[in-house]
Amino acid sequence: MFTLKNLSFSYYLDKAEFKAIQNVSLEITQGDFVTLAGPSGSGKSTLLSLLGLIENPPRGSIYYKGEDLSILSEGRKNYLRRHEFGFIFQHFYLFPVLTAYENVEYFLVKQGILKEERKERVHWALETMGLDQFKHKKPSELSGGQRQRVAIARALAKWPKVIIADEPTASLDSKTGQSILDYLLTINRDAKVGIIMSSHDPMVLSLSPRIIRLHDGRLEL
Amino acid sequence: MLMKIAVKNLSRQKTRTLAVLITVALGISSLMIYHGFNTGIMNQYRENTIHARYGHGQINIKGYRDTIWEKPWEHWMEPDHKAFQDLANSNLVDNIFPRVSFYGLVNNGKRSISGLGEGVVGKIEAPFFNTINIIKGKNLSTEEDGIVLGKGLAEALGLGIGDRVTILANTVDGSLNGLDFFVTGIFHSGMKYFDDVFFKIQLDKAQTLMDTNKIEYAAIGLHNIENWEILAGSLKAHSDIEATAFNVLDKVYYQNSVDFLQAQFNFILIVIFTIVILGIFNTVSTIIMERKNEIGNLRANGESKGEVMILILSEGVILGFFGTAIGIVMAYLINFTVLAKGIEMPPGPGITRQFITHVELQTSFIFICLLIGILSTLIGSFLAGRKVVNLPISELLRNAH
Repeated sequence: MFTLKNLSFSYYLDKAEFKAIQNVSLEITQGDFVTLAGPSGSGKSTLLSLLGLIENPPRGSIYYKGEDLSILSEGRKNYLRRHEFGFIFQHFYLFPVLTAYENVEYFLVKQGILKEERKERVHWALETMGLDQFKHKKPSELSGGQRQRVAIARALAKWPKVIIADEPTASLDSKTGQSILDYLLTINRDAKVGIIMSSHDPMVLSLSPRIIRLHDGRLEL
Repeated sequence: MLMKIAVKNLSRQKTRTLAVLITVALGISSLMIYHGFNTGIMNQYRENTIHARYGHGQINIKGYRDTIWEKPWEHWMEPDHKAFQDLANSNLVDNIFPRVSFYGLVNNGKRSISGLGEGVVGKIEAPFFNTINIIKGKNLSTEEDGIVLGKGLAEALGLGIGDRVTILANTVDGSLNGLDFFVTGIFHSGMKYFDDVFFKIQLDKAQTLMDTNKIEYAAIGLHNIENWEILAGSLKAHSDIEATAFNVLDKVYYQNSVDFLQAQFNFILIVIFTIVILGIFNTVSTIIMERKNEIGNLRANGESKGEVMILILSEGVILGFFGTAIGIVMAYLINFTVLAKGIEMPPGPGITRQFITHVELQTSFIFICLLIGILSTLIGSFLAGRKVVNLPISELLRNAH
């Protein structure tokens, strides 16, 4: 699904160059569950941002289903982000003014899904995440774990080809973190949704089917 | 969904939303009251101009006003001109006021001063021309031998109410003629050159003095000022007649004052508009910066810059609409309470006395206020939103709590 060839990416702090990703080449196939591992500053989040079209095109190439991401128009990028990718962030980024149900429904409206199907998908996603009884609660009325499950349900309801999750368990205690990981593994297995996540949590790494280790922006072999 | 989120977003930052609403409401109510005040002044001044001298307009022989004639009376209207009958039959017309003007000598028995006289039908003019500033006696009405003089002229001749004066004038044939009058009233227009020379006598007396039965021009009083254009249009059937509105007749004082006030209003409008935009920009900028991560999430999930901007602008439209609505209600409340008794004003141009003006709020201006309120919040929100919307998604998602 993703093919990376000699990928490099640098940040510039004032005039100093910080090489976040250096010469990375790898292949991620459809339905893979991949965990990017490595210490802080190793380039995990940057690599996820590049895969999710959040960062601008780098040096080297990234292909998604054979499509060169570095030459995509803004419209095509928006389309892929809206229809093919789901995102989960460490800090959830839920709409605080909407209920759990409305949070999950929001991007489906944007996808142009009709009301009846929307309803079915939202119920399915919330039920899958064990949140049915919390659907009318606002984020402020939910625990950290419940909020992250709403964020996963929101990504899942889009029926994405791949979910990109940046440290989804980092803000949670280990028990809640493990349950979140269980949910992601279930989604990957049952819904055939690819998962690419970053983590430096040993518990997460111990349960991950495939781990890609990064150090100073390079692949650790 | 978009409007639902917009409304809910506004409700989550109650203090800041209230600050924007108050900014818009204060701006709009100030604008509305200032517009109403201007309208009140202009309407009062218009009524004063109409009822002091000019009526709603006048008719005369075409081209008469534009030319200085050696023998003007040769270009006056016959008293049986068909236009007078048409005006008398028109249901738009309240009254017709035929007039003649002439130069003559005003003599108090000891000395003479040249003056500019006008013959009017006092009986029909007195009720209509009721804003003339009479400082002694009363306006000319049914007094056959009455004369009303300007303050300067009366003082120069030492005349008081009831004093006798003789008017000497040339007839249309060039011979000298004279008639005696008794001072009925003394007026003060505030225009010195006018007060020093002008006097009014009955029309038939003026015609006797000049030995003519012609009418120089006729001022016209309407039931409704809005009907002047219709009347002027119907008078085009008389090819030898021209009709001129009061604001053209009194261009120097009335129309120029109206234009001056309008220019002043437009300037204030721009000032208020700018203040509201800056106020909103400041508050909305803060609100949006606090939602940077949320906007980053929207962009990461495929929302285009335009769609995020629409969400921000939707909130602006809601704030503009409700801020304007509150501003309009505030303006009416202030007008019906604090300003109910009107505002005491110093004498205006061409007026010598103080007057009370009322703020005349215009319902027709509500739509313009709504446009201004919404436009200012849209511009303020756009300027504030543009900064955030154009940030890269990675930058929006950074600095998480």
